[in-house]
Amino acid sequence: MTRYLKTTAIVFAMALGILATTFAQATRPDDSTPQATRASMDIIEHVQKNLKTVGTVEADFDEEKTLAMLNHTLSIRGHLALQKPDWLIWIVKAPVRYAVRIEGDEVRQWDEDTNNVQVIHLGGDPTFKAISEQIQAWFLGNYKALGDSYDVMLLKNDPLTLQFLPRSDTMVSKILKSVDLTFNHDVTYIDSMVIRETGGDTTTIQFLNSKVNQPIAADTWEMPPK
Amino acid sequence: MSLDQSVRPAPSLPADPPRNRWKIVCIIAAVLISAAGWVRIRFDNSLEPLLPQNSEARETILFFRDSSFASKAILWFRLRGDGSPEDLYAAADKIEKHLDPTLIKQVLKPPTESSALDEVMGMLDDAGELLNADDLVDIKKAISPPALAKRMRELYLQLVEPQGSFMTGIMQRDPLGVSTRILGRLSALQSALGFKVEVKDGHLMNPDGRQMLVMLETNTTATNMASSRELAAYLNSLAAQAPPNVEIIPISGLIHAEQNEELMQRDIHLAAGVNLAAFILLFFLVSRDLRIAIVFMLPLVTTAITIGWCALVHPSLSTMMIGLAVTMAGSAVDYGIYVYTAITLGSNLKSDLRRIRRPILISHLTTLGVFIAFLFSRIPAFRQLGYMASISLVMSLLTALFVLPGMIRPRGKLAVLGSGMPLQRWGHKMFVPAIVCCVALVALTFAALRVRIDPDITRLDGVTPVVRQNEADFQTNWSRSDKPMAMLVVTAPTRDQAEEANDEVNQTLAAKVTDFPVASMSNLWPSAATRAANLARWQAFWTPQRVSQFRQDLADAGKPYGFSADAFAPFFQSLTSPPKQDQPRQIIQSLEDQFVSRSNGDWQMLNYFEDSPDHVAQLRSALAGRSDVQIVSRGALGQAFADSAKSETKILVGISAAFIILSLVLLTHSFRKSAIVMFPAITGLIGMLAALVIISQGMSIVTVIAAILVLALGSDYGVFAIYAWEGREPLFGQGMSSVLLSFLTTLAGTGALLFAHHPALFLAGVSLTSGLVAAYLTVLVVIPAFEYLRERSLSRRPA
Repeated sequence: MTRYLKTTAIVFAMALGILATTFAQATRPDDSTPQATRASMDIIEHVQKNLKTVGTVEADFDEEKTLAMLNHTLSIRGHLALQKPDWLIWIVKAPVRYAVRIEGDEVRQWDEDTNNVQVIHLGGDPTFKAISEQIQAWFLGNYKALGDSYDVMLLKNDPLTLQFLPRSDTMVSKILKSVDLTFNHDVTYIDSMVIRETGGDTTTIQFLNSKVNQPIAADTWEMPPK
Repeated sequence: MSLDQSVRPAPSLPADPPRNRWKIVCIIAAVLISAAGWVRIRFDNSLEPLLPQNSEARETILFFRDSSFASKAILWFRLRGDGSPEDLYAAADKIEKHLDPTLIKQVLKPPTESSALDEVMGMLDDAGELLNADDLVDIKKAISPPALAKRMRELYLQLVEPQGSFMTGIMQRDPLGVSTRILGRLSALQSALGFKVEVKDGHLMNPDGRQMLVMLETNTTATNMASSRELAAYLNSLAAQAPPNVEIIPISGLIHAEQNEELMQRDIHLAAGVNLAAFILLFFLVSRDLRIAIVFMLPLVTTAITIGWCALVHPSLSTMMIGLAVTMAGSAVDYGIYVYTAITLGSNLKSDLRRIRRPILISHLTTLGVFIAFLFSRIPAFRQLGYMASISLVMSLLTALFVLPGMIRPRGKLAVLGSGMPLQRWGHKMFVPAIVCCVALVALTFAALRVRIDPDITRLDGVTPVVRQNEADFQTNWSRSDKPMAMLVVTAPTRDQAEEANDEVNQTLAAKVTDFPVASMSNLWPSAATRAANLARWQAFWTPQRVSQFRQDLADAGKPYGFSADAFAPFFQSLTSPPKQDQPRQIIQSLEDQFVSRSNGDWQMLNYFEDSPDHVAQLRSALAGRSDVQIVSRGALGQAFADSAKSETKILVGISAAFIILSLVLLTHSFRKSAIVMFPAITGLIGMLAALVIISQGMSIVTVIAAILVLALGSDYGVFAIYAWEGREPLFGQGMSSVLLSFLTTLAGTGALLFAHHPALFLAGVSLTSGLVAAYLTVLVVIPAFEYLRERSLSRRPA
């Protein structure tokens, strides 16, 4: 019954962290939050319709984390690939080397310190299912489903920028203040993501060299990464 | 064919008014005392009286009966066809709004999602209370500068990981990575329950999103059958209120109690009806003379009186045992038949009564021996049967010998009595059928040897196939694995004592049982005393000097990675702040629904582990000598039942066989006669066991009773058969008619149980009927043929 309570923070961190890696482009959003209005259903449906055609995403990413724990901005570079229905790899190349691959029910993690691939089987684990569902929802643009947990605001029309505000009665609201998504001009993928946490930490992810619906090389999925 | 007794002169009847008055006074007193018992009698339809006293099986069943754990009920909502979780929510909300507070105490809700994270983090702040001495040892190792350097590298790496940003709250509270063990323990507790449940929008959802649970705490216990019945009906009415696209299935142990009760009562009524109809039919077939009805009514009347007497001492009597006692009463009809024939066929009542006393006494003692053996049983129901049947038999005998002669008039007619060919000629004719019977006996013996003790107690559960299927489906849909869970229950008079005892138990297990996990509240949230001791130890450990040194070492270790000066401020704050006593404990309260229960005023702490014989054995060994600990395991329960069946069989068969053989040898002075008397009993047992194998059943507590009864009745038949042979009686003479009528009257009762739907009653019916048929065929076919052959071989020997 209270299964979800186990490592609650970790679960949501994984969910949001992974989904954060899924979309991006090289457009850095404004640091200041513009005036927001509630996004109309037409806009949400338009985004959904465009993203529904996405089968694969591959991109490099630049991530910047401004954390209260650190006295400097943490810059992370890496590569990600995602393929329907449930394949995802997130590779960190700097400042340390790390990778996580999710393939169905199986999660594999590797880091340069241990140089071991840790395999976790999460079959039937509702928390992992929740993560997968979140990824699917964001990736496929199933924002109607996300609308149960978030209020969707329109920040900008061009480029289209949506802001997701967790509803106060959800657990996400204890961790996140907002998630901003900026789409490319054609609204076929997400250029950047800004995640603001309740504690003041901010994570900005920009995706570079994005390739959508292109075949992903088999060795991209290798663990440890090549 | 019938023998008209009216042409015979009436024998002289005892006519001693003072003695008759004495008898009348005794009868009236017996009836009045019995009536007092019938007023306070309570029929127990459960299987509880069948559980051996002071046994694990009994303790386990009583746990489920008495524990508040058993008062919970589940409403399982699932979508039919298309639909969304919102349809399930709406159906549940509608049901919850109109719950009857007299039956449903509360709906058990999961913690609200928005407060859960705060509570989880709050647990990390309370680490001092929740971390034990072993954890402190690990902390001591973790605060050394080399260990801290390694740890800071790990934290930095975690920040780089995709989930890293969101773990900062935990990192800041637990720089050493030890306090997060609390979260692991929380996770382990939930996993231990073995069910896959997610909390979504405040509801308990299946991961498939199409099923949902509503947990109800009821005001009902299994001990209160009336309220169980009311609750079962109420749950069904809730299920009937489901909207078209939602199915609601009630799941509760109380439904089992209610359905077993209902089914057994229905079966008993059906069996009583069939039994009565068979009795009436039999009566009209053999006599149609109401005066002879006294003979048939004698054992029923004595049993009814006896039940009343027993109820005075023990008001709660097993319905099943009452049914068996009534069924077995048919066996005493032969006393009446014997007395009746002595009156109607004889010329001198006193000498005839003297003549029949010996076979009646032998028959009586052999049967009585069996029922007296029941008095030595550890099973309360068996003892009830022993008392009821023994007293009834003695009363039947005394009534037959001293009361019946004064009541029966000799002008009645009894079909077939005294008719038929001489038994010697019958024996000659039965030569070939006897060979066939012997061949069949060999085949049945081979089948009987394959019978096994059946540890599956669910076979005796009279729940309907629909409920059985619902529970199987529930298990399939909600269980995390196919491995069942068992419980280790720690009981004490107060909550504090129970929690402290539970801590002791878990400390013992931590030291002695390492092969498998035992999920316990004690691992996460120990007793107040243990939490206080933990906190005192924690505070003593974190001396100002140590805190200062650690703060410096941590800063030094974090410097290469850029950790800020106040990166771990929440941890240091928790060292100086006392635990918050007033913060909400929704998570703990939610867990308590599963891990704490009440029983008869006592508190029970429930611990969970994977059910296997090895695990149960390890726990028993580790906790040997603790009287406050109980293991509740389905596997162990089945084995306990099997062991009980085995030990009861040994005790009962041993005592009754010894009693029968001893009384036979003493009264017949002949091993040959004794062997012949026992022959139908043995063939009856073989027939019964073979029948069990044929219907794919094993020996259980129920069939043990049947075996003993077959032993008693089979030997009873043997007594009359041997005396009929020696008395050169016709086929339907005094002895064989008694056997036939005893067989038919008993068969009316046991055969009626073949119509029962309750598996325990049906099993009793099959066992008894097959055993009695085999025993009777032996008496009718095999014994005359054997005796004929024996006499013929003796007559051919040279003088």
